Amino acid sequence: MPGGDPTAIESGLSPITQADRRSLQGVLEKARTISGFGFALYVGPLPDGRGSAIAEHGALQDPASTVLVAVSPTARQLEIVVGVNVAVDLDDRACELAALSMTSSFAAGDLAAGLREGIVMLAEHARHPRVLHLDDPA
Amino acid sequence: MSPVLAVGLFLGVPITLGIILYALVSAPMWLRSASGTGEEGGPLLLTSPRPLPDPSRLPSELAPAGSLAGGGVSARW
Repeated sequence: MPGGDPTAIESGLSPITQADRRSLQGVLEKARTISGFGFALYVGPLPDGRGSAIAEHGALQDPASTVLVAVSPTARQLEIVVGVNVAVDLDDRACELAALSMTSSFAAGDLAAGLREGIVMLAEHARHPRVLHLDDPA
Repeated sequence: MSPVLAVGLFLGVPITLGIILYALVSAPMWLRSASGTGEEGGPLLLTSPRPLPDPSRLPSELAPAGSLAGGGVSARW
């Protein structure tokens, strides 16, 4: 799939380069390792706002255990959609905190850095407590 | 050594070396700009591998297949 919203430049944000894509893919894999949940990133138009983000989330492989971060640089809109199973560990307050961090970077014009920081923050919050004998079976 | 050959050596060798050095220094920049502009134009969707199974949760605690989104936030900047 082609990368980057072409209107990112119009919105004052630096577009996502090939190097950014590789870096973001690495961050998504790291987030999955930290939390155990799936993570997905969508950058593009969200014509119905949150409805579009929920539709994108529903089309993912295992949406109930996945967090989607959707950004529309043109509309200057960020949506975080949390799957039902993830919502037990990742509450809306933690999402608000990550959203605040991301939008601060976006406002400064750095799309990729904001996404990287926000996704890692979400993963740290979604990390469930380790259970003896279950997470480290002897 | 003929004068023409001498001038050719004294000018040609430094100029050729200069061109090679310029190309080597500029090549990474050309490659970066080519990869940065060549793939823009559509939405971007990146996904991590499938979620890991959580042994601390009973199957009955997991959401049924029909339910998907359980929370999240919207923000603007």
